[in-house]
Amino acid sequence: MKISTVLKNLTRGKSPLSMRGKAKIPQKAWRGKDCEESGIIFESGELVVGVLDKNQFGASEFSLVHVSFPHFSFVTFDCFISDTLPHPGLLRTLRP
Amino acid sequence: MDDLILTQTGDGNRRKILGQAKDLGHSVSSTFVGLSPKAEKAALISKLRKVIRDDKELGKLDNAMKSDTNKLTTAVLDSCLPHALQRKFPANHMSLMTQSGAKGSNVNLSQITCLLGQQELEGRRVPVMVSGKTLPSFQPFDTSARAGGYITQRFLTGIKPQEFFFHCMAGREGLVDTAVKTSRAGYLQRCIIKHLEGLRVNYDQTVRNFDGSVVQFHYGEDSLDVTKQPYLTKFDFVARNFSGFLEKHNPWAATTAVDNDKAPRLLKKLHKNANMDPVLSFLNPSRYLGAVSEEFNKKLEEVSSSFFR
Repeated sequence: MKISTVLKNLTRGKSPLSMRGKAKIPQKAWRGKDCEESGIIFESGELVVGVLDKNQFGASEFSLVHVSFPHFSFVTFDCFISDTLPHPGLLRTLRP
Repeated sequence: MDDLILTQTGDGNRRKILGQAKDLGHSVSSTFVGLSPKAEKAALISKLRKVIRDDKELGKLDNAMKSDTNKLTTAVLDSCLPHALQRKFPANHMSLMTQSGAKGSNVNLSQITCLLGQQELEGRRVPVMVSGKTLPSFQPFDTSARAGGYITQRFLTGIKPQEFFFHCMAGREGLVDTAVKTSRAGYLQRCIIKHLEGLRVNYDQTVRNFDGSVVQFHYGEDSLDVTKQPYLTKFDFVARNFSGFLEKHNPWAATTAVDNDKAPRLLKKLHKNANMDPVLSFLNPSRYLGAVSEEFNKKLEEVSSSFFR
């Protein structure tokens, strides 16, 4: 399953997440090659460019997991980082 | 194995740089005792006798040597890693492993492919025995970097016995650190926490002891003090997800509660008088919505001025 699919489903009917990040492997490691592997671009919930690695999932500052917390409600955030779907009752009470 | 091999030119450069530094130990210790870098051996030894008996002086000599040997190590590493590896990055499984953070670090790669570098014990070079030697196999008062625990060899091609022993000495210290220091630090922590058990954060943001005496005027970490939130100054992220933040926080509700008057006026005063206390010490942010730290205000002004330019 694509991460964009997950993000879009979780933010259905709400504003999608956009972010910029950096991959673990720096640009200079790809010597002489004109590639954009080291940057991460999420635009409107869609992963446009980048590799998701330790810098996005691990305990690093401003990773995808960390960035999504101030953006999502905590119910949505919980669904994002675990493999559970939100309880319908919870959604009814918490979603506007 | 071919992941760890340097190119012929890389290997040559490494050898050349290390060869040029053959008498580094002699010149550094000569200049340290106040002689010319190419001083006579006998003159140097007579001066070194005093240095070696004085722990403080020996420490200074160690630091002088360490700073020079570290320069040498970085020179070698810069000339070899990562471009002088025979297999280049995406095809080199070892550097793929270290770069991606899967396992191992740059230290492991450089120790295998280039050199081990200076071995340290308790922040010093290898200790000198009363005989003036670091190992029985060296000459007394040997000034070479090698006798002081500097290893120019690498794991790939092997370590000589003396160097191996020094590396084991430094390695054991690491083991002792983890074994002994964890237990000591744990007990130390238990002791300090016992003294802190009366502390609490009060509703006026102060930390007070069991008897009400103030320990800290303002307690804050991420979740407790909003002025220290890491995303507070990530304006580009907030701007990018503007509508999302609007949905989540409903800032319109706060517009009536924000005090747009007091804090800016105080800030103006502060700009005129540098000796004044910060705004937050007059206006508690948990009571006066709109009172922010000077640092945040500065960053916000920068961003908003760049928006309206």
